[in-house]
Amino acid sequence: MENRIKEFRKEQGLTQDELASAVQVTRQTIISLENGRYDASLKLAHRIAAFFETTIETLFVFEEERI
Amino acid sequence: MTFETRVKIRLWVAIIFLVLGLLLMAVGFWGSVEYASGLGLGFCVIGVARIRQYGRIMRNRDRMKQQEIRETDERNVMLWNQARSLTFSFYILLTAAAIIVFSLLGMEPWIRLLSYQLIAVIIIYWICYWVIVRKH
Repeated sequence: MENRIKEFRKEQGLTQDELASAVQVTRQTIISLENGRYDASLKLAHRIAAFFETTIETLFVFEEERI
Repeated sequence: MTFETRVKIRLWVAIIFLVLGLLLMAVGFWGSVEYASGLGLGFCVIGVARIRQYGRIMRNRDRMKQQEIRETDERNVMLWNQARSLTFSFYILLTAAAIIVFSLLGMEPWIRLLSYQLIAVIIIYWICYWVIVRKH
């Protein structure tokens, strides 16, 4: 799933480490999320969205599953 | 249960390991059980290593927070669970393969032992599944 975490993080001038500490995950998780290798759970997605004061829909790009 | 309490419990378990190790070593030295001292030494090493690890975590708040994040990080948890699940699948496949090989070689006791083990593991799996399913 695509997301705009990197964009939001850079806008606020945060490092991956700082964002990781703020949302209580490891830096590796932030890296994987930004690279699109890992999809956040609803709980984490909510935490990140709340941290950036935005909505989950703005932060995460949901695409319809292609079969 | 807070993470600090969990670390405290782990610290006590490590102390129990150390005490058990010392007891086993004593049994090995003065008793008649030969393997006890080696086993005891292993318990002691694990106990001391764990006491040092958790002692360091308990003394440093930042370290404790970092450890808590590492252990509760959802990606880490997912990786651990996937690795465990894959290990289980491989275990089942390897045991099944071993049963076939042993049956071709006519090694009856080994076939029986592995078959019972395989059945036990599958039963445990279904019990665990049933318990987990009731929770969710």
